[in-house]
Parts: sequence; C-alpha cells; structure tokens
Amino acid sequence: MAGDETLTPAFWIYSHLAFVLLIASMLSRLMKYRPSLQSILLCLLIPAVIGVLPIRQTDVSGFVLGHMGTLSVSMMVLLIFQLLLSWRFVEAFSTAAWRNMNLFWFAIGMILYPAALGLFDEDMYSYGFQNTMSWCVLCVSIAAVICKYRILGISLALSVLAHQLKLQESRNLWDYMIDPWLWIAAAIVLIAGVCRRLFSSKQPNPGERQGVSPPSVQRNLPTET
Amino acid sequence: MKRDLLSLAYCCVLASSAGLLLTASRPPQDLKFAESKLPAVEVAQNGGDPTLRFIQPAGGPPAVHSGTITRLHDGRMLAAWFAGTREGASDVRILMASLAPGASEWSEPTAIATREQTSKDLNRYIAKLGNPILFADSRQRIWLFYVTVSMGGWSGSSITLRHSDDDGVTWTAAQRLVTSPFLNVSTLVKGCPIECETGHLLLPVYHEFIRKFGEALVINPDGDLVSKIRLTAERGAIQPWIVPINRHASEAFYRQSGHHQKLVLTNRLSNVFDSECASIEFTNIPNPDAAIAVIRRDNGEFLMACSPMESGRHKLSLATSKDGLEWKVIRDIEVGDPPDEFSYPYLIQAARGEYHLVYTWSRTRMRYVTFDEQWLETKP
Repeated sequence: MAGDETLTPAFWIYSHLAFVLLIASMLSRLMKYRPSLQSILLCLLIPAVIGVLPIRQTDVSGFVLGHMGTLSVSMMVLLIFQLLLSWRFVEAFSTAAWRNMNLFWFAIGMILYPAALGLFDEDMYSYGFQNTMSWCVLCVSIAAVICKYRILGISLALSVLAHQLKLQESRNLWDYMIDPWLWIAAAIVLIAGVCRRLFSSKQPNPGERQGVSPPSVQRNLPTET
Repeated sequence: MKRDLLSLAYCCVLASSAGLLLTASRPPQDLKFAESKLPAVEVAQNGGDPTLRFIQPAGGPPAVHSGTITRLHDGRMLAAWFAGTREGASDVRILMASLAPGASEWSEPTAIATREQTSKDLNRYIAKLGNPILFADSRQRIWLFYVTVSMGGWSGSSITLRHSDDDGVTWTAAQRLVTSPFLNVSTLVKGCPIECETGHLLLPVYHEFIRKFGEALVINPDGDLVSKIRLTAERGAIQPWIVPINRHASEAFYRQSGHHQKLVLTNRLSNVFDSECASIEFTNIPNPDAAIAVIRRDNGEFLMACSPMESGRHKLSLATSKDGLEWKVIRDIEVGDPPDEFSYPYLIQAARGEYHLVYTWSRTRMRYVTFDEQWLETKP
C-alpha cells in the first residue's frame, strides 16, 4: 500500500490555524484585563503545541476537526476579530452592526442547510461550484464594505480568495463562506437578543415600582454631601 | 491609519480574488457520456450455466460485504469489498483480489485501504470505513471510492477516493470529497461510475441524514469534485444506478428505503448534467429495501440484479426490461431460505455479451459469477 502524500502543507496549516484560533479564543475569554504580550503568546502557543500532539493515527487538531468539520474562512476571521477584541486591540461592533451581521449569516445558513439536507427540492450547495457565485460574493463583499460592514466584506473576499487557492479540501465556495457552527452561533446570538428584548420589555421598571430611580439613573445623581 | 491599512488590505484581497477568478479554469460545460468501447468477447459464448465462485478462500475475516468489480485493460478482473470482524468494526479493511483471464481462482486478497492509513492521509480521525467502488477508466487509471465515518453510523459517511496508475499495485494517498455543507456528512456510494467524453466521472451517490435521496457527483480527471446533481427529491430513493441510454439521456434506478410501496424506483434523466430529472416512477419489480444493480444489454434492454421479493434477501435474480418500468425475472442466481442472504449485487458488462456479477453471500463470503448473453437468452 504505497501512497504519495496529497495532504497539502496549505491545508495542514489551515486546519491547525483553525484549531489554534478556536482554543485561543476560548482561553482569551478567561482574561479579564488587557493581557501582557507573554500571556498572548502563551494563549497562542498552548493550542499550537497541543494541536500537533499525536492521537489515533492523526494529531489533536485533526482529531477535533474530524469530529466538528473544517471551519470556514468567515468563522476564522470572526475568531481572529474576537481574539483582537479580547486583547483590546480593536473596538467592538455597535449592537446594530453585530445584529445585522448575525442576521446575514443566519439567512445564508437558512438558504443553504435545509436545502442541502433535502428539505427543499433545489440544492443551493451545487451553485458553490460555479464561478458565477464567486463573482456574486465579491459584489456582496464590496456592498458590505461600502455599507461599513468591513469585517463581513473582508470575510467574504477572503473566502473567495481561499477558495481560489484551494486552502480547504472542499472545492465548493459555500464551505469557505459558512460552516454549521457559524450558523448555529448566529442563530443563538439572534435568539438571545430577541429573548433579552422580550424579557426586558416585560419586566416592570424597578424604579417605577419602588418609587426610586433605576440604578443607571441613580449613578448619575450628584452625591449628597 | 488603521482604517487605511485595512482598506488597503481589503483592496489587495479583492484584486487577488478577482485576478484568480479571471484565470481560473471553468467548470465543465456540456458534458456527454463517453461512447461505450467494450472489447469483443475473447472466449466463445457457449450459453452454459455459469459457475459460482467464492472470491476469497474460507477462513478469512468473519464479516464481508459490499463487493465491486471492474475490468482492467489486460482482461484481468479486479474485485474489492470490505471485510472485518463485523460491519462497522474498527478493523474493517477494503480488500482487493484479481482474476487473470482464463483462471479459475482469484488471487489472495490484499488490503487497499485501512482505517489507520486513511486517518493518516486525511489528517483526521476515522472510526470506520465501507462501501468500496472500483472503476477502471479508459486511461487505465483505477479509481477506488469508499466511505469513511468519523462519528456516528453510516449516515455520518463521507466519500474518500484513491487512484492507481499501475493496475492496483500502488495507490495514491486518500483524498476526501466534500459533498455536503453540513459537516460533510451523509454521502454514501454504491453504484458504478460512468465515464464522460472529457474523462470526467459521473458517480451516483445518495444522502441519508434527515432525508434519503439520490444524487450524482461529477469528478474531474484529477479527482476533484466539480459539480453535484440532485437526481430526485423523492424520499427513500437511494443507491442510484445510472444507465446511459445515449450521450445525454440516461435512466436512474433506485433501491427504495422506508417507502410503503416496496418496489424498485426509476426516473428518466434527459440530461443529468443539466439536472433535467423527471419525477420518480414505480416499476413492477418488488424490492425488500435491498440493493440493486442495473446495466444495459447489447440489445438495448435493461438488466437488473435484484432480490425480487417484498421481504428477505434469500433470493438473487436477474430481471430484464425494455422500458425500465415493466420487468420480468428471467434467471435466479441464488435461491435459499431465510436467514440466508444474497445481497448487494454489483453488475458490470466487461466485454460485448459478457457480464460479471459480485454479491455478498450470507455476509461471510464474496461470491462471483460471470455469464454471457447466450445464457440470458436461453430459457431456463
């Protein structure tokens, strides 16, 4: 059973980078204050080393990604953004921008996944093999950047670039744009936002009920001396 | 400053993407099935009863299943199947054996894919493997497609391929085909690929997770998946066999799974590459949710290996049809009693008027039978 190695270095780097970003973003959640350069390096180094440890004919990153699938380029861009955010290198999105971006990913997932699982007759996934779709995605990317959704625009453009460079095993653009975890995360964020809004609108204002100002208002009051 | 840099980086990415897209090779346009170039029969047809042979000697792995067969340019037949302590066990391997022209015994089986080697090649954990398909194309390249599962049952399968350019002596490293956006799960393979004029392969596959339906993959000569076609949205129409009728049109036949009417299903594909697929029709041949194999005879009739019963797999027969809807059983290959099982047939025509069939024999051995056109014509 001889065989040439067809696992390209680019794909190996891509899958390890995905693993490193995933674990590093989890570790960064534990950091409450702006971390030092040493702790940032440690945060990246620990998953990088763990990822290459051998386990069951593969390595840890291959084992994990074998179970959860390859991450999309968009997911990796968001993980990088989340890391930079937790290290206080970038500013957070506005609530509206964050909601709209999640709405975009959720809508894309709704177009793709139910149809791919056979719930609709038309299979949207097959369009991802055509170059026409890549051009359309580039147009959407430009539109997103013009509308100030820079991260979304960059994610989409990078997805097309990675697809053209064949950085993943897949030859379908959809797999570079979105993965089920991104879709599920977007859905959770949206549902949580709706629940929060519903919950806060149903809760009586504590200040009105008890005849005192809400804490936010109280904090702005001048201190009595 | 930060924003300027970001804008510059974005413009670079955009320009690179557009540049690569402009120079990228286009997906295949107007694919057509290759003309059949079957060699003439080397041995005179005698119409005598075919000999049933076991492919591998007794005392091998206790569980075998899912046989496949192909003919090499030198006339040798190659067969492959999966074998291990039980279906889905971690020790299951894909075994291959060959039969030289005129020989009566198959060679000793050798492993052409294992879980360990596949895991290493794909850099991901593989829990089990199964369902091999062997196919020798007109360039004398042998393709091996098989399914791998990282977690869960068979509905968590994805398709892996290897190929050999030296008649199966050495094989390339395993390569995973990404066929579904949902964690790439639930694409399985059973039917025989069809070669196109351009060297592309049309590989019939099926989906099992949440809903079961038939699909086809277009694979370029380098082994890259370049297109995917949904053959039908009909529930339970799985394990398609696509039979070309001319350069564009074909007929697909399906095993029915979980349907109330236990019949083989079919639909006409006026141009499968343009997803022109008609709705499913029921044939008159019973099907106990068991695999089938269909090819086209020289006289234009369809020939199907199947278990023509509503339940059980203790009978394996050959049936013919002129239109794909009305079938007539013409020969029985195996007839037993429950719990005997003669299942998972794989039928090919290797030369004009020469047919080769492999199937699972009670899940313990692989059986092989070859017959000719004359035997089919002779009344039993």
